[in-house]
Amino acid sequence: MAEYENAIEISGLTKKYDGFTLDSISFNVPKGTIMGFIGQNGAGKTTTIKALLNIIAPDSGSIKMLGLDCYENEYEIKEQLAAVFDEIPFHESMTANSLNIMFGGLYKNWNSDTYFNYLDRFGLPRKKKIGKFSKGMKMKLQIATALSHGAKLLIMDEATTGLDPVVRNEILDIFREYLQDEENSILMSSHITSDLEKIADCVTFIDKGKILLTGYKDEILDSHAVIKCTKEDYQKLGKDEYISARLNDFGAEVMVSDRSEAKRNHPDLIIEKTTLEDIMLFYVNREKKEWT
Amino acid sequence: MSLNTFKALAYREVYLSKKKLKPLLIIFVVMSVLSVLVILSFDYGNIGRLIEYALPSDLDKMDADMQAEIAVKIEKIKEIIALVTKIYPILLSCFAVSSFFETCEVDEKGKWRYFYKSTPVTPLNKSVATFGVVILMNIISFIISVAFCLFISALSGIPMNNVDFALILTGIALGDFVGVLLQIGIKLFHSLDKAGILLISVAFVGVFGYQLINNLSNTPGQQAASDDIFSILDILADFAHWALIAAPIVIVASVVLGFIANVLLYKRREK
Repeated sequence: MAEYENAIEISGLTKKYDGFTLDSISFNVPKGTIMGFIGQNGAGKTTTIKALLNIIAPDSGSIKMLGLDCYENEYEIKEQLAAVFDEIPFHESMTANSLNIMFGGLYKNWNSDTYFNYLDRFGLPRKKKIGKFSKGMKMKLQIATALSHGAKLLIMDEATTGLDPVVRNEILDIFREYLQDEENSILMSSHITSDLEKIADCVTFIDKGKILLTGYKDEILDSHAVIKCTKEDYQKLGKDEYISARLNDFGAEVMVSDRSEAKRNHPDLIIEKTTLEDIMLFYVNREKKEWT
Repeated sequence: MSLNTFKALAYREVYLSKKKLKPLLIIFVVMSVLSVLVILSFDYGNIGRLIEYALPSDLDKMDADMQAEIAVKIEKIKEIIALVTKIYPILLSCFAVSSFFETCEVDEKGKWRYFYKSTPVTPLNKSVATFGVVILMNIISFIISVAFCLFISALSGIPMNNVDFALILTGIALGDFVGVLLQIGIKLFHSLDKAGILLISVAFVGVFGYQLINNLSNTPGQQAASDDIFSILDILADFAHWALIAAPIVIVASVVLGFIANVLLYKRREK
């Protein structure tokens, strides 16, 4: 496989449905990073992932993964790709052992030792039917299979949804290890922003089929801020200065996208750091401008 | 396609079909044992006694021709009974192939149909594995059915004939045809119930079409089929003559159609 800078390059991806359009989205996942792909339910995250996996045919746009064209080199890419979904895709009557036999034939680089090491590490039984696993066990099994064939790219679609914090933490630790080899990359779609704050290097925010933000997480968090002020001070702010404002009985919280400029223009106001969750909430309400 | 990929996919098909194959095997064994008991009962048990009671009381006093005619009829009754006992186990053996088609229902309902798209398995690989297993299952069904018929023949003294082979091939043809239609229906509609409706519709059209052709081709005054139970053997002989040609064609056509449909349906992307 040729050298590449970005594990995923999406350019002008468009897909139209009745009532929803993925509208010419573009973003890159740099090699060796975790990209947090955030958005509320129905924003277009799964549609984007389906386009990456060639489950749906986009109306226009191009996709490159691991330096190769997604459609021309589909099966070459898929040898080095692993997908993890919110629900386990394996039949409930199968066991971890039977999955090893199956995947051993499907992937050229399948490593049974690595797989069984992960099973032991996660405490997963080898002979028990998958249908009898708990939700957390099923997710760990999916991840064990994803990490056992030398995949360079992991695509996760809401994989940590519904898991308890302990299991989610375990899984995030596994991903940190996976990324220690800077050849590996992860695209992780989620609306659990706290997970992405802990682990993501980059973040792409999608809302109603449009990319609103994409870039390194720290840069996005540094550039955005929340101004906490009274309603009178809020009235003095220009509409173009902020993304949206959350009003309450005591005043207003106003999201700005340029913290330095906000500090220069309003040195007397309280300007605080923000979180990915706040960024998501304020951007989602950007058209309303004011919300409670 | 690498041998490893074929083995892996075939392994999955067989593994997931185990659940349906096990009860089929049990029922096959039970029905086979019943068949054997019926044959033995004809020679040594109550069925034989029933035939004896039905015979005329003055059989010994009848002329040789009459006695020969009765003996032939008894043999024919035995042949019919042997045939009837063979039907269910043969059909069970041949319909075992449908258990492989039904595994795709689970695939379509769950996330496997998305997950599979993330693997390097091509639609061609998948279809070769599925239909490789189907062909293998057909061969196994054929061997088991022939072995069963030979066993019943040895027990009953009635040799295997074209009707037995016709039954076996027809069973396999039906199993493949039904399975392929079900699989196409499941992939199109993502539901076994809707696939079943498709199957019933096709069967209805087929039966209706056959009846229509039959009625149109029957001339007025044509002699009605005999009510004599022994005529069933003649009807089956005619059927065997037709089925020995048609059934292999249906088997090959079903496998080819199913294979092509599978490749196209696996390649298909969601809208």
